[in-house]
Amino acid sequence: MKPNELNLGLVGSGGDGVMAAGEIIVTASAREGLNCIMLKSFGPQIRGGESACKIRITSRRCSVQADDLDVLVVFNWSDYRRFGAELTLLPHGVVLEDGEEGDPEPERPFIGSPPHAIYRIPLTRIAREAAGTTLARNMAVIGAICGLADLPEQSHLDSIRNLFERKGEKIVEANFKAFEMGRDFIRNNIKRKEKIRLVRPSVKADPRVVMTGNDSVAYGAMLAGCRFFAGYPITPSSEIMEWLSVFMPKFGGEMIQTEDEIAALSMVLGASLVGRKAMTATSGPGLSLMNELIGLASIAEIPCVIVDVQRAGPSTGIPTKSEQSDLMAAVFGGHGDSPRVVMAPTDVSDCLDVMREAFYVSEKYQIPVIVLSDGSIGQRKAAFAEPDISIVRSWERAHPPVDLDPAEYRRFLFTETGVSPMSIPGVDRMIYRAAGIEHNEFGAPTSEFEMHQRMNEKRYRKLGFIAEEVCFMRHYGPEDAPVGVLAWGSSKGAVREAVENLLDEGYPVKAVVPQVLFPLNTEKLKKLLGPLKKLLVVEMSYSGQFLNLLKTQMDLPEGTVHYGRSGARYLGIHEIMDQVRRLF
Amino acid sequence: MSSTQEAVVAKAQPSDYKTDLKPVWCAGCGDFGVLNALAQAFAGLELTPERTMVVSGIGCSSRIPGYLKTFGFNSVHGRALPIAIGAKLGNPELTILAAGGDGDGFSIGTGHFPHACRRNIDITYVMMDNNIYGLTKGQLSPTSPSEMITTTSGYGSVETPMNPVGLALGCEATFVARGFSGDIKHLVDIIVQGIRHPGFAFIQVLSPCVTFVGKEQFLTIKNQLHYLDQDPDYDNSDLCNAFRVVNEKGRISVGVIHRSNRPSYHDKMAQLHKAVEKDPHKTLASLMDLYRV
Repeated sequence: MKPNELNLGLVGSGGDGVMAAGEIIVTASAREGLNCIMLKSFGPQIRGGESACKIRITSRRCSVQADDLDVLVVFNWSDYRRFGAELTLLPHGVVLEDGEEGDPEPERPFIGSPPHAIYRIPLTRIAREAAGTTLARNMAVIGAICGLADLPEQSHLDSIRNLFERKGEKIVEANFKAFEMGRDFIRNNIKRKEKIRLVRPSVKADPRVVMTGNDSVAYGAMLAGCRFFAGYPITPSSEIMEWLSVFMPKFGGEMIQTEDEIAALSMVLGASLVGRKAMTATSGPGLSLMNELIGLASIAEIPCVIVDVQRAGPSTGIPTKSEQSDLMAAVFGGHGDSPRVVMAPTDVSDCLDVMREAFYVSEKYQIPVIVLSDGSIGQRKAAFAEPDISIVRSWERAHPPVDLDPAEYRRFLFTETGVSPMSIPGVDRMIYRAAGIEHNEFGAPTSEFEMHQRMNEKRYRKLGFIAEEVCFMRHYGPEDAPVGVLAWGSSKGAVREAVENLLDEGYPVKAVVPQVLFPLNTEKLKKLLGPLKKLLVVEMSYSGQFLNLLKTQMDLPEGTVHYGRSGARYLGIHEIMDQVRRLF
Repeated sequence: MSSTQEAVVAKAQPSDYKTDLKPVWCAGCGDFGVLNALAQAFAGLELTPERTMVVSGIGCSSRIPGYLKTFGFNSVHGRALPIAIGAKLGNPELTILAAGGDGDGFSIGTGHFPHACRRNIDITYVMMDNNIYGLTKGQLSPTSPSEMITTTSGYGSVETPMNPVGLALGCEATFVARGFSGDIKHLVDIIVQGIRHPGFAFIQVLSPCVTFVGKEQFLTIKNQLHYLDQDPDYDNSDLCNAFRVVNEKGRISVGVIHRSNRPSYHDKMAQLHKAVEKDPHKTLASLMDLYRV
């Protein structure tokens, strides 16, 4: 184990308070200036049922969950069965479970290496004694973890107070008591040398925030000036709509829950036509329903942002688990030739930046922008340095000149960039008819080959300018490394850490992660990949959608190898490291 | 209008609301009547073209935004209503109409209709009903009468037609009317009332298809018309009355079939905005407090 890092896993049933405990630990760590990520895993239940969380606390920057755990807390062994494969232990890892001496030993269906030790803590007894209810078992667990891993007590107590404050001082005290009894049990029963220490940074880091990727998407959209949202609930994107239902009306916007995803994007296009910055958010099945309207936005040149928080598919697939398999649907979905932009955030704070960028591009180029987040980013809770929200690249749509004769107004004017002046009802004098039907520069319907060809040229012309202007690509490691990894979206976390670890081990390797996947700036990517002898393309898609997309856009280096597999289990750091080592 | 002088001189004319584009409709199509009625209604209300938008889906009738000199959107099949709703929510100051046919609105687009009714957003929906798919050349429509022979019901339709007015009443629409494209004067009056209605207004217009149903349809309808506004016994605020005229035999009631005064979406939004004011976050930057630890 790295001395400055702690990896926790908690698993239990609904009511055990797994997520609440996790969030308290995340907040407390953030208060200490530590970086932290919490991933949530749910079964397919509506309420109750099993849930698990995996928390990584570290004084280093962290971009992904760790592969294995130092401490595993099991409220319930039958629930563990469901998540065991995600909750494997390090060789020195320990398990905390509920139980007292004299109780029959539970059957423990371990997956992976057996634990170094199992500590039975009388969680139920402690909770009853301290708070009069077994619901406080999770507080006893937090206390026990603090005792075992030497985590800062005060920050945890502060976080507990925050959670229970509005229920009254008595409740706060009872939960404090459960916390202390859990901690004391460890202090009195576990030998000092068996404890795990987490090294805290000596200097407090930047101001810390804790948020989920879905929070970050919603907030980023508002910062970008989005003032209209229409959407239909779907896991794992619903929190975006829930967030906006609270804050959209507060800042002069409209949020409406529609009857289906088709209505959602329809309303977005209606609102955008009259000048609002508008968006929707969905997941795979919803994106499929929106396909026809994405084509409409493309041909009628209506700005809009569509966030797809991807889940494992196809069809209903595994809705509570993450995958990167909507890439082809996003880039090529729909009928006809319909240019659009596809961008992908790589982590929670990135969601905020990508949303700002998405609205900028969409408004400037009057083109639909699809943002491919995924369940692992969207529902992850992360503590990180406070993002700078003052930077907003705002864009005012190109309006027609006020002194133009309205009869001369050409909504779909052929221009060098493909972007034409867009008249807004109630703002501009120039009226026009928008159309999903092919049209001439004035917007009048046409079925002529020449016009269709020229209009396609106009609409596609935008892509070249977009690829040039928004071509941010992350890259890690030495430029002249002979081996490289190419990834996108949430894969970045595991890839980045794998590359950093391999560099520590002496392997010369680098990683490249483009933020805009379509249109791809192939010149820039070629430059970054140029010196490579071997390239590993990494993605969480069984059929290799990213690899296939790349092949349609450019020639990949000769020694290109692919590592793509199904989602539902996160890409591991060591999994990537193993794949890269093979290339040497 | 920049001055009062000009306002007096330039009284709006129906022709001001028509483009130079030649309709693709067949000679004698009922939709010409609807186009003329809309232009007259717009002129009567003196709507500002720059503040008016007509949204349609796909179909013969859905070409109508192209012929009206207002903002327009000829979009995709069946989605006129949600697009119109989005536009109205995007800018409530605008006059927004949705327009389309029976196939567009009551086949592919049916799912949106009950929601448009219940939300009661202030838009007007003009549904041109010709009981047939005209643009795709004569297939069965959801409102084609039983037994009707079409290109996809060669032995006569075995289905019961949908009744758009009955559906609208059942969905508690606050303004439900029926007009006839062969009586433009009457239709103009209904459209004007619909646009003035502060909520969702549904207008079914019987608009015969001369090509696939036959021009005698005009006469068949004309001979059965019953004008509700001339019927002293008809109280359109009474929903039971309204349901009685949905499936009449031997006559077709036209006029405002039902109207009620449920608060509109916008009224409710005003209340919501007041509630939202209590939220302590005053600026977008202050929302970061939600996440600081």
